Amino acid sequence: MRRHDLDWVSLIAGLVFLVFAVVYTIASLTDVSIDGRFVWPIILVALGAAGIATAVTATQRQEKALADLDSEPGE
Amino acid sequence: MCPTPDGEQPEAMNENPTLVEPIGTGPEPAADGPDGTHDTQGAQNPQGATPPPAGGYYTPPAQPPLRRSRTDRVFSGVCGGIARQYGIDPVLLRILLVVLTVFTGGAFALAYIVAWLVIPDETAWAPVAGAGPAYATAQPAPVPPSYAAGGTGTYVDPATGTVYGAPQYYAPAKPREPRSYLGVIALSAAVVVGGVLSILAVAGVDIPVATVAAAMLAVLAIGLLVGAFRGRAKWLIAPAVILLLVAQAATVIPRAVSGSWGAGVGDRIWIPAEPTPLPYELGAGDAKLRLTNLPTGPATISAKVGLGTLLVTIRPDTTLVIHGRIGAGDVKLPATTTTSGTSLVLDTTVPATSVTPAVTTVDLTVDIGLGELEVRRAAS
Repeated sequence: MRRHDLDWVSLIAGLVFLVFAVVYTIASLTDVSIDGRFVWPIILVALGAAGIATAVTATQRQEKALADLDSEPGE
Repeated sequence: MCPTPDGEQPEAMNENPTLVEPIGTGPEPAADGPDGTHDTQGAQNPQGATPPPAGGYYTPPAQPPLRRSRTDRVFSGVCGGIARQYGIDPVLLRILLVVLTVFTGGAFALAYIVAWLVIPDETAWAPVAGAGPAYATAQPAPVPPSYAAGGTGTYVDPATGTVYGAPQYYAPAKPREPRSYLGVIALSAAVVVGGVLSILAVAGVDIPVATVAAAMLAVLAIGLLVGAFRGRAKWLIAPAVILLLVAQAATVIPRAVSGSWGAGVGDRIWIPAEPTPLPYELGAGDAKLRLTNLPTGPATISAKVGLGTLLVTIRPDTTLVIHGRIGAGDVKLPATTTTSGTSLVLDTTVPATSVTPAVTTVDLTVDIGLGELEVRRAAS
């Protein structure tokens, strides 16, 4: 497949869902109870982190592009 | 915004009624005559004028206003438009919208509707009659650099002299990447896993619904992780959220529901004449467990109802010791108020009323997923 930039949204979403999947599997099989009210706030935190990561990498890319432009022989 | 060179509006000869805003931001075209009139006719290239960028005359854009996106539109283009305006990922916005709507019980959807009404739709680029050809060149009109980069403004096609302008601002969508099948593979694998686990559950292996949902969620999560590095699979987030909701809901209803998958549906009347070790099971329905025919002495009985009610009748000379749980529902015992709730743990004794010590003591284990347990004392 083509090389892509790292997709932060997929990465963080995948991690969060994997953690929840493991936790719910263990909970459902061993009678441990989960406080379900934790789930959605954690998802919000993860979303925010993904947004920050996306914006930070985009800013870095922009600054790099500007730096490249500046360093070219000017007119 | 710069005013038009001489205050004139370009003729609105285009029949498209949506072209209402004047074009003409940016510096004056160099083709103006000496008296400042806007030259709409000839291809003049006055001496000493700065040659234009190759391929036509481009006026740089003013700050584009917020518009709903036409290209990045799932429902009404609100998220696409906002994302484009502020340079963030529209998928992120959409997930945030769903999560906040769930979180606020649907109230946040009002904000979306307000945004839908307030933010105007964008219109597409359309040719506008007006300024003639700025410069005659032999080159075919290329796409102006701002267009390709997602810019706005006006563009004069040097070959035909048409001025393309967007009275509202239009940015082409990012070029669509070729479709990646990674997401389809992950979703299909999750479905297969769910199916296999369900087959096992129906065949008798004790697999709760929450475990099936969690296993499918794990497959989707792995697909998302791989997709972060290799291919486009962001849309897996939607089914993953649904599975997470299912897993959450299913953990409230304990294993009684799934364990009873094979136990049938309907109403049951169980009248044991002697204690039996096998549990009475019902998948969904109303069950009546009459313990009035039991012989004297201790007895151990267990009953499971996935979805429904369990009515236990005992003789007055029987002491009933109950333990077990109810995922969500009520417990009604004789001479006490009803207890309702979720994840109820039962551990009570209903003493015999007619004689002490009791003639019969029944140890009853109850497992109800969603429903009601009622204990009644028979008349005699």
